[in-house]
Amino acid sequence: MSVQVKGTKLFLVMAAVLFFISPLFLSRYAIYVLNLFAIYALVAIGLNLVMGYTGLISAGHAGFLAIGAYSTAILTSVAGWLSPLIILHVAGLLTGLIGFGLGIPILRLKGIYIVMVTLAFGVVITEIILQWSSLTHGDDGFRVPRAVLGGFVFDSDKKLFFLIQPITIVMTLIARNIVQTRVGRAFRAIEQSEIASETMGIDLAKYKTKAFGLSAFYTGIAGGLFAYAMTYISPDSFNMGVSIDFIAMIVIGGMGSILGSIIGAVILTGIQHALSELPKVQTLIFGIALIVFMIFMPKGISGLIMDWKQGGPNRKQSQ
Amino acid sequence: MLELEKVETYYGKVQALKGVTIKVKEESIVALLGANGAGKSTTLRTISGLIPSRGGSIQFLGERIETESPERIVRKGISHVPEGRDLFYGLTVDENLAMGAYTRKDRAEIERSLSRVYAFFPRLQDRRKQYAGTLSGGEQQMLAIGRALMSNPKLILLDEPSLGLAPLMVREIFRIIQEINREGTAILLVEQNAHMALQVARFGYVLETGRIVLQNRSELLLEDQQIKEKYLGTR
Amino acid sequence: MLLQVIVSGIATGCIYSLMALGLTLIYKSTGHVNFAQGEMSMLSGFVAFTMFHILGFSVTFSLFICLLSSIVIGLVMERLLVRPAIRAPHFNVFIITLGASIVMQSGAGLIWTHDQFLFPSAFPSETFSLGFVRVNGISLGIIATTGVLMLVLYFFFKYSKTGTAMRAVSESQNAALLMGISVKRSFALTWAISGFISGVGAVLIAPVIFLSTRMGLVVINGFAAAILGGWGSIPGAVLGGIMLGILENVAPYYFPSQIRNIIPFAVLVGVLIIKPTGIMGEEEKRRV
Ligand SMILES: Nc1ncnc2c1ncn2[C@@H]1O[C@H](COP(=O)(O)OP(=O)(O)O)[C@@H](O)[C@H]1O
Ligand SMILES: [Mg+2]
Repeated sequence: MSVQVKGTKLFLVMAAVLFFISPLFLSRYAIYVLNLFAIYALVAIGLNLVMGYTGLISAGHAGFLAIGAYSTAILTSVAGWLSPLIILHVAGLLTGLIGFGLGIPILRLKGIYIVMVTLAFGVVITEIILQWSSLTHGDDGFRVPRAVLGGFVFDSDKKLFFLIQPITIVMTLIARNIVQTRVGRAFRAIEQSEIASETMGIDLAKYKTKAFGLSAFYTGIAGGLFAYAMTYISPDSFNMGVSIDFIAMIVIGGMGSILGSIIGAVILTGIQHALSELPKVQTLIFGIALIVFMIFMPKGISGLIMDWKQGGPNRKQSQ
Repeated sequence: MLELEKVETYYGKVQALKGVTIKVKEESIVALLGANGAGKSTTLRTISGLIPSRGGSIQFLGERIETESPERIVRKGISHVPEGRDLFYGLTVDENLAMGAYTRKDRAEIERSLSRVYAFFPRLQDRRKQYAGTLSGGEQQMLAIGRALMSNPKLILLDEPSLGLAPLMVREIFRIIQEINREGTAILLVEQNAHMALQVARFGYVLETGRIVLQNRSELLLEDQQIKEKYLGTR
Repeated sequence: MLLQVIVSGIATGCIYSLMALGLTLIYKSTGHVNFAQGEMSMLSGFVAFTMFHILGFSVTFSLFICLLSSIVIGLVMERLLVRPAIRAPHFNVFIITLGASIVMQSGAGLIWTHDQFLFPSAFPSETFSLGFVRVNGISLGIIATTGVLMLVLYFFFKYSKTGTAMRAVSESQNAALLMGISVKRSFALTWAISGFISGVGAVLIAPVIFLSTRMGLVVINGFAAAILGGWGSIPGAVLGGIMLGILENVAPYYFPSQIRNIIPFAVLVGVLIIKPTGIMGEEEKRRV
């Protein structure tokens, strides 16, 4: 047993080391894609905190991504001397606050209303960005200045790798902690049964709002990293289709699973880049994947992995 | 006319009926008693085909029905008045009754059943155009029974008709149940109100966690020490 | 002048009403939310387009096939996508219809490209004078067709045995089963009717906004209309659609014209803040 654990640990350490020296021998494009994997993993984790753990559908998470991205871009251009860590915090907190605020009216509502409000939210955010061109440059898009940390300029994907990946890893671990604690259990209870958790004395409203705020915070940070990685953002980067891609990520990866969020983000971003020449086929594949997974594997890929781990080769697990 | 033989029913992996054997004779009232969660409603749902059984057999008028759909079972002459009425609350009284006759075609005969229901329950006739959701509890139970009568059944499965009703209304409902039975319809009556049920029933079964633990003629069950303690004690 | 804008607003609104009605019927009877309602419309529109433009059939025949295909699309959706998930939570079915809308939109794009196409109107485009207002024949046709369809549906659900049984299913599936009503058949019929409504929508809307794969987005206006009217209420869906149509047509006279794009969303947010149950929205009916 302990040999096995030691083996796993050793493997993890080696994987981590390998991962962090990988920019030395990977191509620029590969590093860029790895960065996007991390950014979208953060978004998927954020979205999963709402959808997977509370069962509320958000069809407007691209709006949060946009707020995070634009506030980072604007902050960096007016106060570029600030540490990107501070800027990202501000962007994340701002987005989180907006998410919290959005959560307050939403939590009284159910199902379809939440879908439509969040969808409306996403559209309204891009519309605001489009119209408020004195701040956002509207349709022309925004050229994002480089992040500078104590004289070190993050001016390449390789350098950004060392900003994006550590942040993602830390935030993933934090998310894992959150869902394993009381709050996470409460979130899950909401998903299982609203009435039951109400009688259990869980203050649903409070938790749903918290979930939304936290989810927005994660997505906002991802937005900031997105702005740095893309170096150019425009309202079109955050349209409704993007929000739906996010939903596809967690459906395919696995609702209510951190690991699933990462898997889903990697798979979908991978497909997006592998088929970047064929955007039509790519959306077709996403659509088919949504259907197939929801009908045959509603717990997503992480659900399959869990079943396989628990069920084992010759053991029947009773739930 | 109805014979359950070692019927087993599951909710997922949980076994709710562990081999239930029950007989209902033509034109009789049979009481099915038991504490909350014993499996009384499950027994009725299994008979009417709402839940499939996984073991045993159910015979009705000499035919096996345990694999039939609810629709076929209604057509064969079994009507189920579910626990908590389960009316179509957004439909009028008339529409609810019309749905009770959904499997029937002959308009004249449906009309005759309707008159019969309104003869049993004149209060419903006064509320024909009212939505079922606006009726009082007693009227709702009347409508639920009336709706079941509309398919002209040979056997009615009645699940806790006295639930949540005032004593006077309970007596009224039980009077009508006896009347319906006197006109030739057999009744399998599920009740927590054991005293009341055994007074109208000819025979009684007692269910405990999915098994029949006691069965006898009603007057003997009423005298039974065990029954007295468990189900009649407080009364 | 304003009166004329209102009339064309009603015509636009009729189309939203149809969308909202299709959504509401499915929701009421099955509890499911169909995000692909707009794409069903778009797809049957393209079927008609293929019939007359590529295969050279007459317009009338093509429009007839359009309606027929819309019923088939509804049935196929139910059978292929919704029924396999019948025991799954509504959430899953919503995601499935979302996936279906994506598949239909991008699939249609692959077949017919994402361009805009002219679509013939079933109605004359000349203008009629009705008292003070001059009304476009197309608007009049839209309003009349929608009105007739609504009436037919009303009588079907109110007075026919099948229609009543469908309402019964939406009240309680368990009790409906006990009456001998086939819930499956009722669901399929609901989807067929919603499909048909989406087909009528295609025939009415495509000539006005052109036929394109983006046409399905009208479902969002449908949702906004249904929520404005009171989610789950059939008269609400109709009323909400017409009000939304009027708002959309009148608002650009008072606000900058870009506002038109976000009206459905503004309406949504407004309703949810002021009265989440919508205009005709009812509290849950008392159960026992
Ligand atoms: N829909 C259901 N799903 C799972 N278990 C159920 C369901 N309905 C009843 N049960 C369980 O089956 C057992 C019998 O229930 P029921 O037939 O309703 O009892 P009774 O009608 O005698 O009160 C109980 O343990 C109950 O918890
Ligand atoms: Mg019971």
